[in-house]
Amino acid sequence: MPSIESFNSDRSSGELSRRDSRRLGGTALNATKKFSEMTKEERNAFFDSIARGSNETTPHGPRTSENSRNSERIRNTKEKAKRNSSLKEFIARATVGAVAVGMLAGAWVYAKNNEKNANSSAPTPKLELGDFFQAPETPNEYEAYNLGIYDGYNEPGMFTSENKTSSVAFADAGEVAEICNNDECEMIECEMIKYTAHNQVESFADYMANLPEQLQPEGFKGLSLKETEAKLESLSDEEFTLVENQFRNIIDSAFTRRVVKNGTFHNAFMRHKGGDFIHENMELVHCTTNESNLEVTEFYWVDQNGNEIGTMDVKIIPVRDKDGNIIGFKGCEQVINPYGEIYVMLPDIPPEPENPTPAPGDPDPTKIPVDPTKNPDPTKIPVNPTENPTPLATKNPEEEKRHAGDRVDTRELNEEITPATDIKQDQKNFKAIEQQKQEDASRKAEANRVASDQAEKEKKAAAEAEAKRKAKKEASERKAAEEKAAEAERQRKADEAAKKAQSEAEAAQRAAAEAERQAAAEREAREKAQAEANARAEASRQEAESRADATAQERADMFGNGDF
Amino acid sequence: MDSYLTDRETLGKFVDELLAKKFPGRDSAELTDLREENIKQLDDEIGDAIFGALSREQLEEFNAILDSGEENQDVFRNFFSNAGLDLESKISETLKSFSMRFLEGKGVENA
Repeated sequence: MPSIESFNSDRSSGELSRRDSRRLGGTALNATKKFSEMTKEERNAFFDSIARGSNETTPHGPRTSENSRNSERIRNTKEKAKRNSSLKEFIARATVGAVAVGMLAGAWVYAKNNEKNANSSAPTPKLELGDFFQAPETPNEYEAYNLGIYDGYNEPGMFTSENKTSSVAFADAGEVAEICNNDECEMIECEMIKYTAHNQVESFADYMANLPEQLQPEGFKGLSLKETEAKLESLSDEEFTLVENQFRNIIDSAFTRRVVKNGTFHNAFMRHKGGDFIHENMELVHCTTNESNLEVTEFYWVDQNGNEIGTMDVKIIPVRDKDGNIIGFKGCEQVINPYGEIYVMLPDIPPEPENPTPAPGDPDPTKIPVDPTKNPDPTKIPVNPTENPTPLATKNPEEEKRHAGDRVDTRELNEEITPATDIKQDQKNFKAIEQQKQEDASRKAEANRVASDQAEKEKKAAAEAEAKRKAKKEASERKAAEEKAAEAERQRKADEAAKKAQSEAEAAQRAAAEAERQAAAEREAREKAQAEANARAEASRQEAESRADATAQERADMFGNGDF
Repeated sequence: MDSYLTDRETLGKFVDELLAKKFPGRDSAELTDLREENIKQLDDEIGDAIFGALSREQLEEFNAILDSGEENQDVFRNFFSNAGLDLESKISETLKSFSMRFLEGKGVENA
């Protein structure tokens, strides 16, 4: 039987569907009557009918009078039952049992678990990926899913080795953001993003390149995103696993917090170039976005003295429909960098073209009309390929196509990078900064190579190992403390429930004792009555015997011993 | 004899839990009327669930027992057993349904 939930869409339309009409069979309702026009009673009857299934209706017409009579019978029985103390006690005992068991199991009071837990001070429940990931169901969702989340794991591309890919759904943090859109869920969301970061494959390089340099694995320090990507690709599976584990440990040791960002930021996006949504048709590009009150999850790390040693900001890109409306947060996570600060990480990614041209038949979101009123900010800085036609380290066009990066809602990207027309000076400034940063990057890379003598490396490695160990220890201690608190809370709840159950059980016992006492009293009364009846019977019998004896005696007196 | 089918005190505790969950921090005095309404409603629903589960014939048979003034609980126990009705399960279902509706905002909840 379909659940009530399956009728939600019909309800919201305000009109009964044919299916509902058939199910109702006309019961107290006109089959074409709008839901919004129903009385409260009719609505209740409607939902009751659906909830109970169609067996209470017939395809031939209403059974209203029969139902009405049945309700009347039940009502009469209830009234009679209320006057029978013995039955009431019998039902009361069953109720006590049901309540006690239910409370002990927490089955009812905490029925609406997700929302209520979020509002309580109880420890955060353990989250599973499956709790948040949901396959697209509606056409809109499906399209958003396809457009907003690039799923190219099985396509040739960055990580061609199967051992370097994963079927884990990476957009789960976005799902959490959607579900937990309130302050209480902030911690869950941040932790979920951290957890999801563990599983990043497509944007692994993005994360690696943007980690604070002190924390980057050896061999990855100071590399640009593309260099990081190339290095990851060059690793054997075993080496890759080692680096991946290091990365996960680093992420594990991070603390998270929600922060609000304003200003201009560098972003790296995976963009669809046109054609099929396969890896070859995606490219990693960078652009700048002007963020206003953007909530991001900030990863931060501290040293053994508690001093912050670096941060990394991650934002979740919302998925938009064709009109540009946000319809969900299933988009990717991406690292954002303050404009002009860590640009060194992004010098070799092709900049965003001014007017991306979609391929014929391409469902590319560049076709989506962008309402200029939605993005009127003239401070948004475009990147004009005509002014910067040769991105650093764009050595091989084919390689460009094989970029892995983040899955992204390209429509949002398109909207965010809408070029402004009156900021030429900004463009020049931007170009100058960009060139400066590129030079800095080159110098830094060179300096890194020259300065990497073995002793220094060992010293650094030791320091990093120590920092890692401490960070891990702290994370472990933190986790243990959280688990301990969770266990204490669970124990408290269990004790509370047990106490309630005990209280209910005692009440039941008292009721049972009282019933027993009443039964004993009744039994005693019955026995007493029986004894009295017996006594009366005995007295009667004796009286009868006496009378018989007297009669016999009279006869004997009258007739002697029978000898006439 | 009160006008409840089952034990009012037990239902009261159950409803108190729901109210505390639904309206955390609210003074219980403010919720007195709501509490009473819900206890009554729950009691009604339990009665409906129990007797609504009986067929017409079973209902008539049960009415006949009540009309006879029967006070022996074994008679009731046997009746429900023969009718295939697990009273505790039925009540449990009702409590759960009531709880979910209440917490989701479909019950008597206009505080």
